[in-house]
Formats: sequence, structure tokens, C-alpha cells
Amino acid sequence: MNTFSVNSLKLLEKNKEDFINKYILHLDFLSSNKSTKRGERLHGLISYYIQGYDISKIKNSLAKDEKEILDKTLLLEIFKEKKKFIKSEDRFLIKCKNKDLTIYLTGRFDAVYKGKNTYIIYDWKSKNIPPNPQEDLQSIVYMYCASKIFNTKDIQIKYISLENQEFVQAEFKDENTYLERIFNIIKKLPKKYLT
Amino acid sequence: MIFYSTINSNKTDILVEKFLQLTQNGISTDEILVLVQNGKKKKIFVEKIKEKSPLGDVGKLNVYSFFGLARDFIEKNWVSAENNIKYQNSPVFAHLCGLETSQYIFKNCIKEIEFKGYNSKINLLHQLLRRYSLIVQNALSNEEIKTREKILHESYSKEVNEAIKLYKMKTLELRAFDYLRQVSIFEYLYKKIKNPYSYVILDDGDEITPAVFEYLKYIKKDVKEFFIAQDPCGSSRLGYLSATHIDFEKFLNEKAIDLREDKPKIINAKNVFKNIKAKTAITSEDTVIKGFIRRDEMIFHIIKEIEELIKNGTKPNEIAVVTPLCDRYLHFCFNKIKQKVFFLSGSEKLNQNSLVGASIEILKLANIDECYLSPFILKGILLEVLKIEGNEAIEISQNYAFENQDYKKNIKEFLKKIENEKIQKFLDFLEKIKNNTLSEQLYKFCTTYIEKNIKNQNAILKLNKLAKQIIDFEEIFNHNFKKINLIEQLENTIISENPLSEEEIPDDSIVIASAQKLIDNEINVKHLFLIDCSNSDWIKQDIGMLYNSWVFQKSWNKKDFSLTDNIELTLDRTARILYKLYLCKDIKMYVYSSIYDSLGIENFGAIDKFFKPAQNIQTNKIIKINPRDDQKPVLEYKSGKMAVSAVAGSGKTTIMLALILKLLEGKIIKNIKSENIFVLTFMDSAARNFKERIKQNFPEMIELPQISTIHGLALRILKENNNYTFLGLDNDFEIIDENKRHEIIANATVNSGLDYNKTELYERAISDFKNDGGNLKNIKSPSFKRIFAIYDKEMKENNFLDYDDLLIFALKLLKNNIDTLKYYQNLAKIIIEDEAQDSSPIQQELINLLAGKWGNIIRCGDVNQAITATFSNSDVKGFKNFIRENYNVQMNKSQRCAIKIMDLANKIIDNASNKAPEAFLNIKMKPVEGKNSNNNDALCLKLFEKSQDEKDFIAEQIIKIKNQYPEKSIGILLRSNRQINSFSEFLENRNIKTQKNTDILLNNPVFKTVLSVFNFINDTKNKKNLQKCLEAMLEIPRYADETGILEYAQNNDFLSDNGAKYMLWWDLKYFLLKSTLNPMELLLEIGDFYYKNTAEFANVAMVYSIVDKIYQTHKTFEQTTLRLNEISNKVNKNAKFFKEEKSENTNSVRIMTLHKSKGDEFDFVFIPELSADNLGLEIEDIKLKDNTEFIQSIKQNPKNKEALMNEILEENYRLLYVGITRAKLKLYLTCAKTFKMYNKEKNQKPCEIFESEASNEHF
Repeated sequence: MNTFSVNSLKLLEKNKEDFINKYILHLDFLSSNKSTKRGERLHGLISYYIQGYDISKIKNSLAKDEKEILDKTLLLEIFKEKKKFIKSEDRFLIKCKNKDLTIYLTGRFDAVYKGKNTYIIYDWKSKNIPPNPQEDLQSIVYMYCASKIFNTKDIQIKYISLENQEFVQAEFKDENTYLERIFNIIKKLPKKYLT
Repeated sequence: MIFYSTINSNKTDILVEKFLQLTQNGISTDEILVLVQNGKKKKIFVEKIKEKSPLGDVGKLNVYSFFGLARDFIEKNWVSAENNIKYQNSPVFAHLCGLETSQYIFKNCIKEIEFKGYNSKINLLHQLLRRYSLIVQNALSNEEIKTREKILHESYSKEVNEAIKLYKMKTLELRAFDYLRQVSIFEYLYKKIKNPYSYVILDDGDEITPAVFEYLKYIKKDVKEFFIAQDPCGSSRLGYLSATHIDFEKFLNEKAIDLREDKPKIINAKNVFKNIKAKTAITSEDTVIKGFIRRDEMIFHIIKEIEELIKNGTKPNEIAVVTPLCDRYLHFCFNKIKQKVFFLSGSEKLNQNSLVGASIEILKLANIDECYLSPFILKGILLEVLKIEGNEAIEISQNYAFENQDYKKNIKEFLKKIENEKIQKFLDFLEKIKNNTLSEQLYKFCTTYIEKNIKNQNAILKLNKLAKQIIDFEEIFNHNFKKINLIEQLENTIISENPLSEEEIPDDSIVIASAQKLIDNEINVKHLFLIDCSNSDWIKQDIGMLYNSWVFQKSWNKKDFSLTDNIELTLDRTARILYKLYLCKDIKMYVYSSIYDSLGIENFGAIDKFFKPAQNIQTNKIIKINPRDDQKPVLEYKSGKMAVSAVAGSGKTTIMLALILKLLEGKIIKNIKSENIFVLTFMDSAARNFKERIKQNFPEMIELPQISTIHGLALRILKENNNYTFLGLDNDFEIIDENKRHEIIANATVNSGLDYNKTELYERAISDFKNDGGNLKNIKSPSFKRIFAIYDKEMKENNFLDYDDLLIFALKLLKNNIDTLKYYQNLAKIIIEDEAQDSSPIQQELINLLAGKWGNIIRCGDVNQAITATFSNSDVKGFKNFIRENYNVQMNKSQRCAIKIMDLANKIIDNASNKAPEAFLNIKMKPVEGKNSNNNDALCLKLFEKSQDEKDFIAEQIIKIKNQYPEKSIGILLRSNRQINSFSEFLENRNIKTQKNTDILLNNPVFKTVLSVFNFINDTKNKKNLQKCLEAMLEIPRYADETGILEYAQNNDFLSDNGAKYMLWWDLKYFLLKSTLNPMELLLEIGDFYYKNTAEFANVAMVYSIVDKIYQTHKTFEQTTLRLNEISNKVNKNAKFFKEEKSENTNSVRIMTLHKSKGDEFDFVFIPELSADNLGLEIEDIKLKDNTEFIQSIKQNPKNKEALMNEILEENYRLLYVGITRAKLKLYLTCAKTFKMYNKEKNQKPCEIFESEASNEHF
């Protein structure tokens, strides 16, 4: 294993055994979670909207409450300048190294907004927004990766709550601290699992 | 840029390098499309890019498998597609589902369309899916499909098109797209979306499908550069898998660079390719070729060789085994090897895994209030899921079984009464999850009861596969289905591919795979074993009734399709597959085959043919035959037609074998190959015997002559080269045995309001009617018409063939298809028929047709031993005419019978000349000088007053013989099966061991043991059952000293600990506790435990097959066991058990009918109860059966009474002649003047022989 997502890193940080069971030994049970599905639908529609597609047909099939959430979200100021979104539902893959260990970080930006000089990563949250965004592992991974992709340190991450459109944000600080945090988690994994 | 390169070369590295060069030159990864053949190669490609990329942003990697391209395209552009769909209820995402869901939809579509007259409704879905796959992958337009329909003269195209149209509509409405539907949506979408790619890297260009190539053609105008790796000899996925050979040089208008090195491996592989295409034998120093008789011999030989290789330092991952038959038997055998083995092929029903099976049962329990459970499953759940202690689990399940004897009891009600915390918690759990969705129920069950440990890894992967299917269904149908219906649907249909995609090939295992899987995974080993090479599955032709993988190829441009096309195209693909396989091995290739498959059915030969060594291999002459003078003319045969009339015991088999060996040595017909020799025997055992002896003489010979019964030959003609498609048959046709046939006709008879007892009559009538080739319209009997119609419908709908159909269809095929006829006529340079007197008109017609080109026919037999004409379709007149019209060799010397017995046999011929002149040909037996017994006491004809006296006399004589000559064999030959049972019972009561019909299932030790253990597990409480089971088990030598267990079982509760002193008790307890929910697994365990390393082991596979078939229809262990008991006294023609030569026990007296005795010989022969009723030798003693008139009425040319009576009379003479000539040393002919009926002695007339021999001194 050499490629990590935020979710997998979070699990590894929390419980090494659970991580191994889920990501290495595939000893995890598949479930269909209603709220996850709901979140995926809303993410999908926002992304279609940002890309400029006509979403009226699909929107009509949403449940009433989902439609309301979507409408409210799309009223947010940022969507008035849709063209400033340079990416939507965008996958990334970043190679990084610490001493002799090379790993890859992967994930998907919900949307990337280009301000004047700043790249803002938007993350739609169908559940809770992180209480401490500056320290949140997702902020660290996403901002580190964005800094590599856009080749700048002028990076922000904004978490928007889809339920009430509230938001919190974090700003890029220090690459080395980020890497240290990431590799400290990875070090928890026995070497035999690292390829 | 195009370059030629092979698998297992560095081509991927070159392409990765190209990719990196592009990115280094500032090209964004977004602009580069990489296409590879499959998911595994995608992973490899991605890892290589990752590894070689500099630190930082690697970019978005658009690396796709051919199918992944379509999937990703839809995911990215779904909204465009959705906005163009007219149906409402638009989901945010398409349902990119698995095949199970789409199959379910397709199945429902088919229900709406009537495929009138189409056989094999069970196969319809499979055929349609294949057709749809070909249409999609070949990107065929409606016009192109129409052209193909015309080429193939398809009769169901209208229905097929309707079904596919409906399917497409339904899946669109539901937005449910499996991987094929995804390709068709992709074809629509890419024309609407702006192409983002400027560079295309294509690995495995030789395996590309037309659908993907069409896409490349479409985007070509926007692409700045292509990088294509292709192998000109590749394209091993031609045919159904739809690879197509593209001329990329023409496509890009540039020359390819050949990067293939001149390594010996590549040169060798190229030679293999060339040789196969040129149909010349492959001779390669690095190839070991071996042929075996039985499949198990072959498998165990390989296992031994593998163990030897490993002992000598080869690593397990340097060895691979390739077979098209990755069946359970192979799994079972290879799991015995000490090394880790990874199976890369095969599929199984999900519920074959115990935990998955248990989960499905538990889902049923959660959703059905009144639920019955098989006690066997209950035991499994208690042990495996609830982890209840063994004895308690057994006790509970046996109590449940006991309570179920009268009616099926609700399991939940039953369990409520059990005082066990785990069970009560389990019941609460079921209640709690009752209202959850099915996927939630499964998830909760898994998280509550299934431990996440490595031992359960396989089960968890499969449970997740099940969960995925459930979620698919729930999302697509939005829960608009009954949960229980879905469970049943999934239980029966989900086939799990092996391995699941999540599983990695471990690097410390021997890989066992199909050829395609090995190639697709580019597995490279030092030693590669190709096994089952004579099995036709190696060169499966991909054509069926509703699809034709060749004509449905995009590139097909011929106006018709012939057998030759099929053969040539299949050969081409086989050449490509073998070429690639040779690229997968570094040191040695092992090509191994067996004459028989696991079920004892002969393999027709497949890729072994490409490897066979030069013909006329030197014999090591193990069998040396010195012919007698009367035998010599047979061996002097040169060509043309020859009859061999051979009296009983004249050494016919030996001389025929000598003739075959001489033919094989090339001493009769020049340039003859083994495949040119066709030998037809009457019995399978005779065919086997010939093959085994030929193999002894030619140990190196891989392909033996075609030696089989006529049914074996017919089966080959139907199956080989997919010939059955020319008859409108589907490839899943199944030959049903007599038991199944009986079952169908019995149902038809009873459902027609007739008595069950009439079944036998209709079995005969249907057979006669079919062989007679009559028209049902001309039959007067309404009941026959009705029963035949039901039978015929049942057979067609299930795609069953009976033994009559086999011959009729083979003949029809040869008559109607000139290509096929020529194919076999070219092959059959000589045809040798054994037991020609029993040959049917169809058999004779088939032989004449096959010999149409070369005209070499040798027919051997003895007209005087024709004893099947009155109840079968045999036609002795045909052989008589053949003798008259052709050169006839008379082999009339025999050393079998004592002189006196021989004299009696000859006298029977004389006697018949007045009363039944047509009964015999006047060929008298002559002794072989100095060889026949001269025993003066060789004949004993005796009449008794009472039948009991007769029986007492026989018992007394047998005891005497046994005391005096313990090694000598004794046979009792009787007229009817009814007499056999009564005689056997009588002798057993006198402590004389008897052996009845040797062919019944129960006489096979493996079957008997399995059935006994099953019976034991099924009901440990019933003393009678227990006793029967223990008695049977005690016959196993290892328990010989444990007869005391019978008394113990009678007087104790069997499962209490006191039984511990008996090994049998422990073994049975072990099987009882075996924590499995699958009876088939248990069967293999039993087989392995008792028969490992014995000759009987091969029969485990056959018993497995018999039981598996029953289990599939009877569903539960209990019902399966019940049915096994029902069939245990019957013969199963489909199971061709292997028997060791001389395995018959001379300790037992063999009791059989006179008919069955043909081909046997005994030192002492008794023919008792020889009354005129049983064997009339005068016309006034002949009585026609009640149903004779009815049977004749269904024939086109019915015979009159007189003719029929004469036929019976003639056959009676021959029957007696056959019986007499079985005896070597002494013959007893006996009869009583009275017989007992309802406790009264009634008079009976003894057979005429007692009168004619009255003056004989022995009387």
C-alpha cells in the first residue's frame, strides 16, 4: 500500500487494526448509508451546476428537502461568479517523500475557486463542518496537495454546511508541519504493509 | 507510433516512458488517454507512472481498461446523457450495476416475448446476453445485424430483436447499466462530447474490441499522436470476447517497428503459432507430452511432479497450471498439495460459501414469519454462526428433524422453546432487524455475527458482493419488490467470479487458471502445465443458436458461414492462445491429457492433437497375440468389408485388439493415424478395456483411436465443432439417463390420468416410436399422443436428449450437413464394430454413412447370440445379410466350455433347425485342441418335484463347490429380474453371499459410503436407519473388527460417550460435527477420508456429480438424501464408474439375468427355474405380452402375431444358447414340476430341453 486518502489516514490515526482490516485485508462490510447517498446526490448536482449543465430535469427528481437545500446552497454568493470555479469534483494524486518513504496522497476537491491570487478549496459538508478546521487532517492534506498542484502557498479551504450554509475556513501554514503530521500517521502502519 | 511486442516483454515500460516524456514536455495528463486491456494492467500501468513521476503533482491519470473507459465516460458526462433521456425520474447518477441486476431485467423482458418452439428456455437468457455482448462490443449497427441474420438464416431474429429492444428500453428507463450497456451508452455519448485527448497510448492493441477502436477512429482527427503496442500473433480474445485484429499500420498510415527480440522463447512461441495454423504437429524440446487413462491419474501425477520441482528448488510462484476445467474436483485435489494454490478461474454460486449460505438463510428467517429450515442447515448455523457447542447443536437439530417428520415446523417457534442464551438473543436480533431494508439487515447481521479475521476473508469478500447486488437492486427498483423474492433471486443467480477483483494473486502460490486468465494477467512462470488437453473445452467454439461469435464480428464479410469457417477460425484463435501461453513459460511446458474426464466420459481430443508425436510409435509389445488358424484370416485383412462370425469364447476380443494394434502399427493401411480408426463396442466397459490395452502397448500414444459405444460416437458427432448448432440445439443440452427419463414419462403418464404401472410400457413405446421415425398424426392411441406430447415438451424446454435422440440426431446431422459428413468420412478410414448382431438399423446406417469414403468396415459378432431383438431396436437380420454379402471369417473354435457343455450348445442349434429355423446360423463350436475341459460330469440337467427342492439342491451344490473349489466362480442365470431378488434372498438366508446387478449405484463403494454417512447424519435417532448405516460402513475394511458397534448401537443412545472405543463411532461423529452448510463439501471430505490413494478415488468425482445434480433440484440435504436412497438400487448410465479389472468378488455368487450374462463366463453356471413359461422352446409355449398389440400399433409397419411369436421363440433358443455357453467347467439346468403361488403348489411345464435331453445319460 502506498496511496492514502484523508479518510484512510483518519482511520489509521484512530485505529491501526481497523485500518488494516479495511484497506489492506478487505475485512470490512459494505453498507448503504442513506445520508451518504444524500450527500453524494447534492455534491453531484452542485458539480453539474458549476460545470454549467442544465440541472433542471435532474433536480425535479430530488426529494423536497434535498431540493430546498440545493436551492439555498446555489444562492450563495460564490455561485454568482461560477466561472471562477476552475475545478469541480476533481481528483488529485500527489507524490511525497519523507526520508526513505515515498507515498501518494489522493482525494477529490469538491470545487476549487480562484480568487485574485488565492486558490480556495470548497468542501460541501452534508453533515457537520469541522470544529477546528486549521488542525483538521482534511485541511492539512488538501491544502498540502493544492499547494503542489497550483504551485503556491496562497491556499485556503472552506467547509460549507449544506444544511444551513454556514462555513468555516483554514489557511495554508507550513508544508513541513503538514508532512510531519501525515507521515507520523503513516508510520503507525507496520512496514510490511508499505510498498 | 506502432510497435510490435509480446506479453511478458517490456512493452508497458516503453509506453510508460512515452507517457512521462509527454508530461516532461509540458503536456497535461488531462490530455493523455491510456488504454489497457483490463483492470490489473491498469493498476500496473498506474503504479509504474507513479513510481517514475517526480515528486509533487502526478496529475490526473486517464488510464482505463477497455470497459473502464466507457464507465468513466458515463460517470463524467452523465448529466448530458440524462438530459437526452425521455423518461422522467432522473437520478443524479446512472446506476452502473452488476450483471445480476441486468440479467434480472432481461429475464423479465423475455417473459413478455414468446420464443415459440425454441428449445432450452433455460439457456435463452444466456444466449441473448451473448448476442447482445457481441452486438455491443462489435459496435454493430441495425443494418449490420440484419445482414448477419440473413447469413445465418436465423429463425428467431424477430423475437431476439424484440427482446433486446425491450431490454434496452427497460434499462434506460431504470438507468441501470451493466458493463455492456455502459459501452452502448458510451457509443452514443462520445459523439456528443468534445474530445479532451490529444495523445493516445494503447497497450495490448491486439486485444482491442471494435467498440473501442470505433472510438479511436472517431477521435483520430483530434489526436496528435498515437502510441500503440501490438502483437501480430496476439488477439487471443478473438470470438466471443470480441477482440479484433486491427491493421494499425493502415489506420495510422505508418510502418510498425518490430521490437520482438529473437529470444528462443519468442521463436518457439512463433513456431507453435505457425504449426497450429499449418495443422502440423508441434515438436519442441521444452515440451513434455503425456497421456493418461483417467483424469485423477493425470492430476495426481502433476501434483507429484510439482512437489518434485519444489523439492528441487523451484518456487511455487514459478509454477502454473492451465486448464479449462477449474472444477470443484480439481480444487479439491489441489488443495491437498502442501503448497499454497491460488485459483484464478472458475465461478461458483455465492451461497456455496458456508457463511454466505448461512447469511442468506438468516435473511430468510428475518423476513418470513412461518419459516421452515433444513435441520442440516440449522445445525450449520448453530455451529458456525451462533458458535453453539457441538453436542448441543446436534441435539437441537436432530430434535427439530424429529419434530418435522409429520409436517414442516416453524423454526422460530421451535427455537423459542430452547433454553439457550445465544439462541434467544439470535431470535431477538431477527425480530429487531425485521423492518430494516435488506441491505441493512445483511449489514447488521455481518457486524453482529461475523468476525473480521483472515479466516473469513473470502466469505467477507463474497458477502460484500452479495451486499453490492442487494444495494443495486434497492437503488434501481427503489425497494419496489418483496424482500423474500429478492433473496431467492440472488440466492439462485449470483455467480461469483473467482477470484473476486479485490483479491491479489499471492506471490507465494502456484497459480491454477484458465488459459485466458493466465494470459490476461501476464503470468510468467518457469514451468507451465497445460492439463486436460484432450478435453474439448480447450477449443470451445463460440457459436450458439442465437449468437455466432464469428459472423457477429465487425469484420465479417463473407456471404455465408460453414463448418469449415467455424473450424478454421477456432483453430486460428487456439493458435493465438497457445502462442501466448508459450510466452508465459520460461523453462518447460507440460502438455498432459487423459482419455476420460472426471465423469468417466471419453474426451474427444483437443489441443493434445497439436502435440502428438509422430504416428506409428513403436509398440513395446506388452500384449503378444499368437493367433490360432481360425483367427489368422482376421489379421490378414487388407481393406474393404469383412464379417467376423465368432462363437462364444473364441477369443474375439483378443483378436480384434490384435487387429487394432496391427492397424496402429501401420501394417494394414498406410499412413493411418489413430484418429482414423473407429471402433464401436456394445458396452462402455468393452471400449474402456480396449483403450487400456492399447495404452499398455503404446504408452506414448496420446490420441487413441475413436473407441466407444455407438452412443459415445453419436455424442462426439453432436458436440465436436459445436455441430449441435446445425440441428438447432443449444450448447447446454443434457443427456438424461434412464432414471430421469423414467421420472418424466412417469409424470406424464400419471398426469394423463393413467396408472403409474403403465410407465414402463410408454417408455418402450416412446423409444420405438422415435426409432421408427413415424408421424405422431398417424398414431391412433390418444393416450400415447398425449404422453408423448408432454414428454417431448419437457425434453425440449429443458434441452434434454435421451439416448434414442443421440443416435437419431447424429444421423440427421450427417444426412443434412454435407460438410460434417465429409469431415467424419475423411476421418473414418476404417470402422470396426463389435457385437454386430445387436446393432440397430440406425447404428448400421450410421456406419455405412461414415464409411462412405473409404469403405472399410469390419463387423464382428455372433448371430447365434443375438438376444436383444425382441425388446430393443437391434436388428440381427442386418448382420446376417452383411455376412452373406461379404467376405466372412468364421472363428468357431473356443476353449471356454467343457466338451460336454459345448456339445449341448451345438445340439441346441440342431434342435432349433426344425422348430425355429431362423434362430441360428449353422456355426458349431469346436474345441481348441487340448484346451477345453474334458470333465465327464460337466452337465447336470435335473427336474424336481417342488420348487423348494430345486432351490435346496442349488444351495447344497453351491456350498459343495465352495468347499471344494473356493477360488472358482459361480453364476446363477435367470430369466427375469423378479427371480433374481427371490433367489438372492433365499441364498443369503443360507449364508451364501450373493452379488446381484453390479451396475446399480449402491454397488459402488464410494456411493455406498457417502449414502451411509448422509443417512446417519440425516437421522441419528432412528435405530433402523442407524443399523442399516452401520452395517454398510462395516464393509469398509478399516472397520472389519468393529462389528460390536451394531450391538452397542442397538442397546445404547448411539451418540453417548460410551461408543468411544469404536473408530467408526469417532469417524461418524466427526462427519456429524463437520461444521458445513454445504452437503457437497461434506461429500468430498468423506470421499477423501475413505478413498484417498485408492483406485476408487476417481469415482468420488462421479458420485459428486450425481449428488450435486440431485442437490440442485432437491435443494435440501434431507430431500437429497431421500432421493439418493430412492435411486440407490438403480443403474445410472451417466456415471461411468471406473472398476479395477477382476474387481468382482469370486466369494460371492453372481446372480443375473440370462440377458445380462452375455460377455461373462463362470466356472460353474446354474440356470434354474427353466420352465416352458420362462423359456418356451415350442411355439405353443410362446405367449405374447398384453401390450404387444399396442406397441405394434405405433409402428409404421406393424408385425403380425405369428411373426412376433416366432421372433420370441428364436430368441429364446439363442438365450438358452448364450446361457449354456457361459459355463466353463460345469452347467446345471434345473426346473421344478410345480411352483408355489399363494401357498399352493401349482403345476408347471418344464422347458422342452428336459424332454429332448431325457435320453441323455446325465439326466
